[in-house]
Amino acid sequence: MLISLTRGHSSKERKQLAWKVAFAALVASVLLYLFGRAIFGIFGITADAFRIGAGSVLFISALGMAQGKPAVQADNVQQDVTIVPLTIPLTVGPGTIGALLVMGVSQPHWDDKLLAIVSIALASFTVGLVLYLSHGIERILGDQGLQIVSRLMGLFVCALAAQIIFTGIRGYLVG
Amino acid sequence: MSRKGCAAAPEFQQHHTERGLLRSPFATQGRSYKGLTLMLHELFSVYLKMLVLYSPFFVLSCSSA
Repeated sequence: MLISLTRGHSSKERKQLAWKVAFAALVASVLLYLFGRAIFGIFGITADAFRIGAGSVLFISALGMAQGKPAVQADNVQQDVTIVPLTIPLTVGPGTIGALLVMGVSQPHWDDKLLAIVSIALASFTVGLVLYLSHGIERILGDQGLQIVSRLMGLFVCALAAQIIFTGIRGYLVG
Repeated sequence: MSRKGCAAAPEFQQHHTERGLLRSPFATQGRSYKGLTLMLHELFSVYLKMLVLYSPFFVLSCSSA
């Protein structure tokens, strides 16, 4: 996707774009993670209701991922692809947004929040690194290798989504 | 307190526990080590979860679809 979306860009521009996407993903994720509770409060949504809703959205997008369906069409994109579609919805999709909001609500203590923000920063850095080394990774893994890794990750996201839904249902029934 | 109800210290440590020797700096170090391990576990767990959610390989794999 990165290569098809940045067809007119030079190699240097593409590498800069990788770090821009990672930074944008970090900012978006940290904001969503920190302000989840406030967003729920404004709309009067309980965390368990959101767990069920967000888990379902994540499950549907993970199914597409596991089947190898493209998330966006490369032809219908604007000139600057950093924020839309590379950061949102490709890297930080609706499912990820939901999972981040739920994570933020689940960890009320600041020391836990700080630890999670460090983890998000590390994950964003890894995303930047993978996009930065996209040519090398594609050369090593090949098209089929990438499809396999991607579908495996889709399976894990499916399991993660199912867990979020189960936690929501249990919380609703118990509480 | 009876030792039957709770997890007893291993045999080689029991006399140390009775004499209060486990309150030595080594014991404190052990506790902080446990805390550090838990913290690293939490850090790695959230890191992996976020990495799976971001799924950078999916972004790459779409180019071949």
